[in-house]
Amino acid sequence: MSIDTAAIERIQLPKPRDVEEVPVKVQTVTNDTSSLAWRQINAILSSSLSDAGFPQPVQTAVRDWRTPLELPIVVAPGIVVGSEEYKQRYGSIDLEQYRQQMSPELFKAFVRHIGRIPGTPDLDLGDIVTTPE
Amino acid sequence: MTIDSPAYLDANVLVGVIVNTHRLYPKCTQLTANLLISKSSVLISPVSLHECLWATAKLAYCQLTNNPASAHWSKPIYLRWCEKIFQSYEGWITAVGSMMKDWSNAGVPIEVVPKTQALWAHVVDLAPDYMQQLKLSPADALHLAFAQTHARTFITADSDFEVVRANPPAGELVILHVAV
Repeated sequence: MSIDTAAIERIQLPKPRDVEEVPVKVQTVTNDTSSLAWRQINAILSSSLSDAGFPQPVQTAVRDWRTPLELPIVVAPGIVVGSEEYKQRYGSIDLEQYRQQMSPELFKAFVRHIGRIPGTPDLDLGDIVTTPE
Repeated sequence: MTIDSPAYLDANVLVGVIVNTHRLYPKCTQLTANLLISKSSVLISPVSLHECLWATAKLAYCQLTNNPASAHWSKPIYLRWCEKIFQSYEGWITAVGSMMKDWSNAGVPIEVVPKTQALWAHVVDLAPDYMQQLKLSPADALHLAFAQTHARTFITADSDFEVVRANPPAGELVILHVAV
């Protein structure tokens, strides 16, 4: 199969109006190595949206299409995470013990929040909470 | 582990529970789970929330700029990055507050200190003493004063409180230091 990499002209999007505003969240796809054409489209769309006044999109890394998809894991009703996130957040914790010792509502509140922010092994808790000058 | 109620939580433990991968994460979550299971009253102060907000804002800044958590951080940096921090990581900034609300809704007795004007007056008197005697920062002296006047257990991950072991304040306060 061949891929055409014809030049793509810049798309001019209309400026957002003051009325009838709706929340729009745009995500840029990064690390996509499968298609030059798609990367061009993505870059032009992102640039045009930015010029039109939309906020900068959150950068989201996307796995290569050859990588197997993560299977979702249900930690508690309504709390679903991927296997990698499960490993980081719950891998070092005896969840079954806490599931038995906590009420369902408390267990859900507990697992919903623990480890929700990615950290690093060198994070110093004493330092991170210090009020800056 | 038995935790005497009520227990005052230092900001570093609250942050230590919502941030994963760091060295104290398993112990922070284990201690917090024990606290919740024991149905202990949980005490927090505006100082704790203040520190948690700074911590999560810094973590968001480090994520945005691909810096390590030890990167230089200041109010001018925060002001420059404030908009982007909230644009991309507002959920991080509100994480501790959201966790407190969910715990409370699940039946955990959570109280904010100081509870009374008389206890606040006591805290105001104690904090400078702790700064002088124990060489604690103002925020740490306030944490200890809040715990001393309101709690039976003070849970912290800050190694600065190691000095308190050698010179403990009068009373029955138990200090649980989360360490590796």
